[in-house]
Amino acid sequence: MTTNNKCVLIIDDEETIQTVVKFGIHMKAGWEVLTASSGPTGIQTAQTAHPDVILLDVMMPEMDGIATFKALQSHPQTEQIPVIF
Amino acid sequence: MKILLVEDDEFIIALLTRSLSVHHYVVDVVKDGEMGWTYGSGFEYDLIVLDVMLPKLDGLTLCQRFRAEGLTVPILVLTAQNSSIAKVQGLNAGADDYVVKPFDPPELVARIQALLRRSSANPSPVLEWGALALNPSTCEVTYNAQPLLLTTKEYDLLELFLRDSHHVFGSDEILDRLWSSEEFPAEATVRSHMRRLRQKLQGLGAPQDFIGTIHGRGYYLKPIQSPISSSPERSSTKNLNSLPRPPIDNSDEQQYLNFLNDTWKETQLNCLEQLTVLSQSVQTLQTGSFELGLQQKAHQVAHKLAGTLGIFGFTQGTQISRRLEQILSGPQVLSLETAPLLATLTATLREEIQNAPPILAPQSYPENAPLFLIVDCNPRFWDPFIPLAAQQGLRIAIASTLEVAKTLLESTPTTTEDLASGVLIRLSSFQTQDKNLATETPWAWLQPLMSAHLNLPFLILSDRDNLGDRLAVLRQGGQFLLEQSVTPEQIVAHMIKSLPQTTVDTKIMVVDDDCTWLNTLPRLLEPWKFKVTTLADPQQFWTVLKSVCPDVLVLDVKMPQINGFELCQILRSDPHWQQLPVLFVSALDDDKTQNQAFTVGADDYLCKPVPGDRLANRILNRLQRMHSVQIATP
Repeated sequence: MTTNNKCVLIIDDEETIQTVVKFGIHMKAGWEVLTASSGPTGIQTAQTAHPDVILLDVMMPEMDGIATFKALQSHPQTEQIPVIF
Repeated sequence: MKILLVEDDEFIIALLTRSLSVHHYVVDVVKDGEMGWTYGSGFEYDLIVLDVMLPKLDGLTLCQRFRAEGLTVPILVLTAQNSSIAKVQGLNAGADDYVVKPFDPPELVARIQALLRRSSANPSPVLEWGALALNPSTCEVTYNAQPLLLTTKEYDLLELFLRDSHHVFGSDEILDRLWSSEEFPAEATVRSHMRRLRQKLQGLGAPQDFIGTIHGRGYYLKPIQSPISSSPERSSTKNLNSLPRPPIDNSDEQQYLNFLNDTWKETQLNCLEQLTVLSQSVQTLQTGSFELGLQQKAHQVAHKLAGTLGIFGFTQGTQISRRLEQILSGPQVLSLETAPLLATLTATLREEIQNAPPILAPQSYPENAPLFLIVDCNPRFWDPFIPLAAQQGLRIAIASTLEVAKTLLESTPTTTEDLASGVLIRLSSFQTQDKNLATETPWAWLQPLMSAHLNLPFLILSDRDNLGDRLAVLRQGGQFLLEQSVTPEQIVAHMIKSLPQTTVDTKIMVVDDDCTWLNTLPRLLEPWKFKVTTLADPQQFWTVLKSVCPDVLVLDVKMPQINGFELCQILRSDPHWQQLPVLFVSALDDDKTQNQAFTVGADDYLCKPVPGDRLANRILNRLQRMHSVQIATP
């Protein structure tokens, strides 16, 4: 991954938010944007795709943002990834 | 343009001052490194020329110190050393250019001009704005190719505007930038120069508002309207791209807006569907059969709506959803008493979603533009206010019902931009809407709202011209306006007048010999956006005081040569400075010292260590007191 081609992962259960943020980031910065609709899916994507940054929603059903963040932090593959709530 | 020259060689000072003055630069000269630091860090310059060999503090260390403090002003270093190592050292210390003595004055001036061009928003050698062209190399100015004959200060003003054509310049900023620290002109001087400059421009056919005014903010170059088309190929595009309020001709931005509007069309129905959960909650709450399960579901819906509406930029819908989310968040089932509030908020939210206007690019306002809340349900009343207020640098938010107004005022906004700075209520709007309110006094509902927000200015527009209403508004600290006797323009003028003084650009001068404290202070006060000038040497007090003209003075007590009490006494003995708020901040915490401080004219006394917020609050208190006194004294 080059420095100009960043990858952002959005973890949010709201599909509209995913769509709008994805479009905005892609258009403005040209970065790759991955989306996940729940904490567990997000963790899985983060482990395989190694995004440069994660945008994480706090309130999500089942596994909330805080629990997701803790899980990301406890895993050596994802602990270094900056997370923005 | 203003240049600081830090040089101890009298011959070079004379030579450079003359060469630079010919090119309309204002030059401040200081002869040692420490004074260079005081001036360079305390005043705003467009460029600094530094000699390497200086008494007290050498030029390279001074340069490093400026950069370490985050100063981005271009720095040109002068030196007698022509070695490559010396040049590398100079550039590594943070200098932008390096000139070896003896130098050729025209070359030095050309290098200074090149550096200023690089840091300018308009890098072209000839500065242009519509039909106006200014050539800094020859100092020639033309409008429509006709020569414009200007005085030095008029030329300087025009160059300042053209160099930073997207910037709004306040009078104090213009004074800082164009007058040397030795002169002490008043703001009226700027106004009179500006008047003459505008007359000369008009004389050659420029529009009357070629240089525009934003009330309470300053002057700026008004966007040039193209009479033919808004095609991006036109010659003045370079300038138009940096206007305060650019037209939306950016295809990316338009594409994004189209996408948002299309997505909103699909999402709107979904939002209305989700609202049924809230309506269902209201119904069951009213019949007394509300359950925790439904409440939790409604809470989730409110949360989702807040997020969704927020992403499309519907501020009011977002705030109402957040309020609903907050009400529904408790672990207990809601009581019957909350039913009316929940019903009103849900109904208003439904209206907001159904009537959501097309999504437009956010209008660009000056930074920190205050927000005024208009409480009125009739768009025909409030429509004219939006452009009128925008012209005055004021943003408008509308609350169509009192419930929405309460929600907007009571919710905690995510940014200070969403904080209302004032409220306008038109009473007749609610009297026609609700028959009950027409018969009883509006005070039953207005008074609690005003009492809950005593810090906010309330403008009450009434169609009833009687003493009782006027007195009631007055007693609540509001301002009464008779609806039939004021125009929208006058109402906007009242809005502006009612706003509390902003702390942005409030000038704080701090005199203390403790350099660590002086260095940390600007950072501590950063959140309040004060302009902080620090001074470690009390002997420079009078010069810096007159040059900075602070709004508040912060003094240490114990300082070498002249102590804080003496400075305060000197200050109070001059009628011009008798009203200046003075705060002492000292490590001495005994009663005797504190009493002495108040005896010599202090307004407040704080003991070190002082947290930033406490000092800022005390400063704000003093400013507020000063402001109330000024309003009370006609």
